Amino acid sequence: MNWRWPESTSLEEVLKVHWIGASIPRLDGWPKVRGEARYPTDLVLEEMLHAKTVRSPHPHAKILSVDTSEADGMPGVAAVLTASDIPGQNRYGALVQDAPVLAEDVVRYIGEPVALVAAVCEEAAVEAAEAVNVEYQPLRPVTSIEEALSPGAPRLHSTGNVARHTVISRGSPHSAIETSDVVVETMYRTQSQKHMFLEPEGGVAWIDEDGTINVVAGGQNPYRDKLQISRVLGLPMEKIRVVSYPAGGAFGGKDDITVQIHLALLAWKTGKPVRLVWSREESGVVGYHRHPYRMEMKTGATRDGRLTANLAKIYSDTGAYQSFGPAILDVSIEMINGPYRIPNYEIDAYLVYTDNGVASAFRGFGAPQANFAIESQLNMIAEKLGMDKLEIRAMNVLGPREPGSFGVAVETEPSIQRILERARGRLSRVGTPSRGWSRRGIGVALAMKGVGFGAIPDYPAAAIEIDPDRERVVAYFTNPDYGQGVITSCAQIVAEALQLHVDKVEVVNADTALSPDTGSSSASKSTYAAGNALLLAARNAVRRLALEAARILGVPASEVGYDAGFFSAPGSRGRVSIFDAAAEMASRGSRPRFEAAFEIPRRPEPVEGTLEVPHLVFSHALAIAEVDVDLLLAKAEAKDVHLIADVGRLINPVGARAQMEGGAIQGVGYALMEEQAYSDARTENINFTTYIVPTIADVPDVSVEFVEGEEKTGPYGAKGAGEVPFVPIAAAVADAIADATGVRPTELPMNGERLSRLLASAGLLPKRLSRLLEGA
Amino acid sequence: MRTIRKFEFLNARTIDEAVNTLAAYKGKAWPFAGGTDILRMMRFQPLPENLYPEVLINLKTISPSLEYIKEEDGILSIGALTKLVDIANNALVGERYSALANAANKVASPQIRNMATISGNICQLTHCLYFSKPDNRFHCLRKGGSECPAQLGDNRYCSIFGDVNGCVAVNTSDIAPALIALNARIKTNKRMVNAGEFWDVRVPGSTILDEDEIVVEIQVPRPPPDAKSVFMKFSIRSSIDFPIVNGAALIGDGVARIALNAVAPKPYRATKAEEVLKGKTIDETAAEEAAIAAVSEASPLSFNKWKISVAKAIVKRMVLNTKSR
Repeated sequence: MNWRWPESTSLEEVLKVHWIGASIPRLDGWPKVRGEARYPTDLVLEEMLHAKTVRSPHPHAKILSVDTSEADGMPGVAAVLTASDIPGQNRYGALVQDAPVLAEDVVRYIGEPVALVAAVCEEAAVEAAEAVNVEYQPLRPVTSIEEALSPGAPRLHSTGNVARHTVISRGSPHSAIETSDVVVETMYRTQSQKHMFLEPEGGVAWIDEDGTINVVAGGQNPYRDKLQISRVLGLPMEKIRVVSYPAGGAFGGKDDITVQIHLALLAWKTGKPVRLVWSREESGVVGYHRHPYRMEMKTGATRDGRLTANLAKIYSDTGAYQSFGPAILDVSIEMINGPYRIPNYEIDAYLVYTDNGVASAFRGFGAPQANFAIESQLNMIAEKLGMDKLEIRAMNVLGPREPGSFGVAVETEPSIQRILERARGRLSRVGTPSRGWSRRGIGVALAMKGVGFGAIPDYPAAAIEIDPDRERVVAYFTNPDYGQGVITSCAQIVAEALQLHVDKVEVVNADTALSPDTGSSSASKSTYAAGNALLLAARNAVRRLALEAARILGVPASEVGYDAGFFSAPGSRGRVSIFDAAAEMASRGSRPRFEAAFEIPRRPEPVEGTLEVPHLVFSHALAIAEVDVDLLLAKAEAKDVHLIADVGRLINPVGARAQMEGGAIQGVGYALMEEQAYSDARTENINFTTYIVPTIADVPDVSVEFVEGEEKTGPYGAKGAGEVPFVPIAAAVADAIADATGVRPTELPMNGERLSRLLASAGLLPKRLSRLLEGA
Repeated sequence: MRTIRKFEFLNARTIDEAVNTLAAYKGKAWPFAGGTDILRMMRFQPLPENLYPEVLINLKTISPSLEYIKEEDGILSIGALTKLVDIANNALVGERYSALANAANKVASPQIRNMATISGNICQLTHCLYFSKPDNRFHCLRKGGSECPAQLGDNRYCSIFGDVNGCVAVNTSDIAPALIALNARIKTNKRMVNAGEFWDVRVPGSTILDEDEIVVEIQVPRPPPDAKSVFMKFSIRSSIDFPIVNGAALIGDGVARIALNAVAPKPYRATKAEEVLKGKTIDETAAEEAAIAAVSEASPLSFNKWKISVAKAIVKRMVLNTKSR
């Protein structure tokens, strides 16, 4: 390890180090890489019961009866729960509570929970689960967007199969298309992608002596989970505690409820500790996934490359329930025009129910699908006009503070033009066909991703406690660190704010019993939200402790200043450390703990028909991908990905770089190989053997450069880095394939089967193959 | 929703004890080497009830150990229980039998290669997507059923050289084509067979082994000094993945042996391609002709034409790669 802690120990010297921009190692890194960290699914409690979920084998069926009598009487069985045992509301869902906690009369996807079993060991739980007798009357399933919208399709919900339909338009898009010099019309399809985190959904729950139900499970928003548990159990909020740290990966797939409510129900019913962990295969079938999309695009431009109009029809398959579907659709709507000046547009967006599991949040949250469509459109227009692909972007990109499609600027500080400037020259590295059958192509795409929830109100709160006995500062916040590094970046923010060594800062993460509600780790906003709240809390701490210091120093509070961990006043001798001031406060029975809430800036009203459009703060990234296409094998391999990104000021550059690399690699998986395969609404690839994610052998060389802008509303200028690197990858890879072969993929993933069809349909294979090879 | 099947686990002390116990259980006992394939089967349970073993017989406890690599009198002998990692890393194998070393190095993942053995790899069950579905979802021909779901269903990764008794599943062993190309022999407790014949069986079998027969040794004759052997594997992912098509070739010094796998229910010896190369100097044209010959008898299913061009490309590249040395 190259990095070393500063050797000095005196606070004054340490302060020569600034913690913002310091690539310090993860504060929770060592225990994790040593295998010492105990994840929720590692926990073993005394007299713990083991739980199993009884699941529907049908994608769509009526439940005629549920008979638990056999399972109830089996040895070792502590509880068998069905819908009728639920004391409160039998519904959950992050935005709308539409999903049954345990199905009542209908099941709408394979694996939908129908009953819960807890027993003394896992084997007994499995046997009891198999003994729960559910009688179903199978109904015709709805397996695709097209089927859901076709006349005569089974209605999955009383409102029909369209969960939401939003039309937003400006100008006269149809006539503008007609008068455009060039028009590109394309249909795009994107697939369902699984999160494939290393730790599957799971955790433990138990009841305290005072009756509090404790749930420890990997999650992304412990306070919202707690609220959902309280609704279902009919218990007051203070009787529930949720802990969501640490978690072995999430990527959005643990944002909505997974096991939390089931765990709480079983602990409440049995009075005993319970463990519920989904097997990898269970996670493969019933875990959330990214929404598959169908997008019909018609985009026009003038002869000199100015965009004139965009007609976009977006269909999103949300599966059986809404989860985050409406908000994800919002992000797609917001992204479908890109960061471009498009005077006329019509966006016609549908969120559609099917029996294909439940789609939910996934890194990018609707942006990757829309980006694949609009960036491919732009690249095609550039090709048609013989224009440089960076030039056409530079020409159409909105200027700083210039209102975009939804009335707000897409950049608060100039960054996109700077990114494009940096990219200049990099696209000309093209054309090194190494061998006859192997073609190298280079492609580009530009992306943006909103930071936070846009127009949805969000007030992250956090706390700082100054512990005089141990001379430590404890930062409390609840947006979980599931690997992205928010604990470390927030500790750096607190150290910088209080001018202390980061060694003095400890973090208590994602525990509703100990911390105010900081909201979710999602929407690229963890550092932005928690960092801002902690900054305010640190300011409160200094302001309040200055009063204590003034008393000790015997001066008026207005004269006290704070520097490098000490309070002092001009003309008074001596100084008071922040810890002594805290001790003074504590000596009078007052806890030196300081809370604050931050209001994430937003428009008071969303754009009509949406929940969260528009965002006010965006991160930006441009991806340049170099791809080798093997014409004989119809295989595309990403060899090199270069990202130029503006994610605001970097709190921890190594951490930010890791986010970029991880996003690029996951994006390559999305572009080239990952696909949840369904047949008749049944997932066929449910584990790492059959659901193919990239290994290190498939990873391209990823290089990253940052255009570091300062976001005025961000903590020390930070925005968010979690999602934006993922967003442009698929479009950039598709562009590289088009560059290499002359034909453009419009469906994801661009695997061998799709590529071979594409190459064959373009006449590239197999007849012209030899001629093509000669020409190479 | 699944725990592993229950089974008895017996440690065999000698080869005789192992095969006698196998005989006594009449098909209800399976030999157990590295266990990487068997434990997966016992957990996901793709088979019908009547086909599972009650007993697994551990061969790793056999003495003297069947884990060794040695070369004597121009014959490389590899004990049946030799781990793939040791074959992949063996300098002698890497130098003189490089197709075998490379094949061993391309099987699954490092963790699996640390456990899996060469005999387990060549005795793996011939399988397809349908055969392998958990909980015996498809009672196919190989399980005693009456239909092959792959014939009309998802046969993207199935045979391009026809069926065996109606089954279009493929053998996915990476080791098998290397052994055939290198003209290896497989020694069991009963007999010695050429590698080319080891998989020559009718459905539902995957190998010629009897119920009371185990592989004890693999013997590979040292290739002629001017011949070079290569192995190639095409899979969706570069590691931890079954082959879509793999192959091995031994070419030079009057020898031309080419084998493909994952293209048929058993490994496919590309004899037509071998004939094309006889007496020819290896160049681009010869390689192309050999590749065309190799797939000349292919008859694709509804969704796997693509595999033919992959197989062709693999043969061509293997042939060209034997040239560069």
